[in-house]
Amino acid sequence: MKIILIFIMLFFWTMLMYYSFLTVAGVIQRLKGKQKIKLDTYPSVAVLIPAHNEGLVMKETLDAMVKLTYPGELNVYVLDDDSSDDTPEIVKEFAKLFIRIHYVNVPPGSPKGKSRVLNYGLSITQSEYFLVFDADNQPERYAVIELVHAAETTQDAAGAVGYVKTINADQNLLTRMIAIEFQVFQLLMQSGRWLAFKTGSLAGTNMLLKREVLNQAGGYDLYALAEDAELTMRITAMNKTLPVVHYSVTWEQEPENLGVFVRQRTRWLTGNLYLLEKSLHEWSFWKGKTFVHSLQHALTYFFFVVFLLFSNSWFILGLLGYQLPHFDSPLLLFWFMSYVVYTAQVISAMVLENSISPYNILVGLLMYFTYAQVFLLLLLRSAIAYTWSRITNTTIAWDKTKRFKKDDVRE
Amino acid sequence: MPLSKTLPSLSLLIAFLLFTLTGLFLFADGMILYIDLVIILASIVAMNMLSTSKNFILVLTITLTTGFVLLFYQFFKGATLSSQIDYILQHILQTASLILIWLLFSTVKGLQEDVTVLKKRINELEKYEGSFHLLTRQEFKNRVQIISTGTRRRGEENYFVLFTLSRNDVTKDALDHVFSQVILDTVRAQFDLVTKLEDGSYLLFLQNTDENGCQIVVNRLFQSLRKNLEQSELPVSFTISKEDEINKVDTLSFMMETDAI
Repeated sequence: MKIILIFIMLFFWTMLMYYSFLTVAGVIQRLKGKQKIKLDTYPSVAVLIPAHNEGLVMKETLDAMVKLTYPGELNVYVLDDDSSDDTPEIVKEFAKLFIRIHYVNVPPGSPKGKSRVLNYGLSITQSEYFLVFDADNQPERYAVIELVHAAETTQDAAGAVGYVKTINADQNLLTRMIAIEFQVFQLLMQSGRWLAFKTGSLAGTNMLLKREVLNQAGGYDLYALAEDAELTMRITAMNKTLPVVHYSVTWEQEPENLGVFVRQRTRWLTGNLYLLEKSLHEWSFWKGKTFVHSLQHALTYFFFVVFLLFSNSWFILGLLGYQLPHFDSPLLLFWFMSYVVYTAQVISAMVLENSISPYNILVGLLMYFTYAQVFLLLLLRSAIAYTWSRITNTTIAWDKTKRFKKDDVRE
Repeated sequence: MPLSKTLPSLSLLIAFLLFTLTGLFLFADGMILYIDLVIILASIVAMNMLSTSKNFILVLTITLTTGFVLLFYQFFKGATLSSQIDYILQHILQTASLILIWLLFSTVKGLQEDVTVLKKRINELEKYEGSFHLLTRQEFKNRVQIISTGTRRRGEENYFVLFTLSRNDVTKDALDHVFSQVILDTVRAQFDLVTKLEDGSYLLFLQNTDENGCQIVVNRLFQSLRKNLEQSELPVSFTISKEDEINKVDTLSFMMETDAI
């Protein structure tokens, strides 16, 4: 029993040191100077925007698409997946006026979801690269060109992935916390891992891919709920890289209430559980750099949770007065270091995003005790949903994130 | 941040830093205190030399490393509850001190950068140099460009005259004074431009004239100078150059380029 305890303790210590290392690596990567790149010729790019009832946000999205600066051929395809609101009318108004904007009516089909729509979009376009934006996204003017520069100048690049920022961060405490979480995730998992392991993850939006690479990979997996994470694994297994470009920025909406947030995260986590299961029987998911992703998945979604449950049970049994093997460890100091590492990540992200303010710091300091703890509950909810779908052999329906009307538009 | 807010925030940062350092002296003791002080002093030296962003990496690395060192130290030494609380407290104080020092340096460096930018901007905006109405080099260049565009269109010619003064240490300020006055009195105030270059020579721009016209201006200048200077041989030499040929006149083009602010 003592050996198990020591093993669990070492696991948590290693995780803590690994995340500390990623934080420092992320900060170093973010502070690197930008290279001036100019290509002789710019490849053609098709921007694909899957849309289902996006009338609330579509005008702002297309305003931003018109403003995109790109020296090569750039076409924007809004892939309308059975919208019943005014999405088609808005897109058609833009398409009438701007050569670059195109309205595409996606034929009905199943399973529902982003993957099927993207596969259809790919079947009707012919560019060298394609770029996916979610329908609520407002990319900055140079978002596309920065991604193309990285994809064209990085060895073995399958494309490139940019940054996502929260447009409604000031809306309420929840959106503020989501914005901080995004900043931290991108600092560690994107910039940090890119510097340390030369590996990036597709983020579902603001991601550029070579059409040829996707064709070789076999297109999008129709059953993946986290289609971006799933595709990342297959592309990495092909020994391709995905450079992370923090200069390429898109702004997107995040859930403004808890109900929408829980549904969105449950979908993401369920998608990651699907991926975890897939990695158990796909040997290619552990080869080369894919190992970094698969190990991270296994550690985060399985070992971390199991060990945490074990240590919590241990704690409760101790409180109930059960005789347990005694093992000396500076637990208080360890808890303190967990807090230090977490807060260091949050503060670092804020410093790099230039979003440091007394209010943001206060929110950051509180997130460890509030927002971060919700992860476990969400994971539990997703695990139940996923297990039930496996037992009953049913497909979990794609749950689209609800949009909110906003007033501000990014330049 | 406006200066009126920056200075009080600097004072506040210094006050907090004194507070955390006093806390360190009160709560940390023995070897740990010395190690903390060495880390803080070394950080101050390093932060003085590095950029604000690199300083942040330094603070981050030190905070995480010392935290883990304390954790391992306590693990192998055998931790008690009170020793852990002591170590946590001193780590908080050390981290707070480092963050405050970083904020101090970043504020001061930010101010330094602001001052440099402002000085540059002032130089650009200033039209006249010193107490005379000599144009600054930037203003001189700007006006020459504007005038040249017009004269080229009209097919007129412009000339540069470069005056070099041979000075000695004792009389150099007085000679500069006299020469500046005389040259400004001699040229047509609304048409011709004068600036003083970095090496102390004077550059005169004469528009819509020819070599003969330049010579007349030079003679007039020398006549006026003779009214003020004793020497029969004036300590001034000059070069006349046509504007279109300025690229061929090495000294002059070099001065025009390098002296641009």
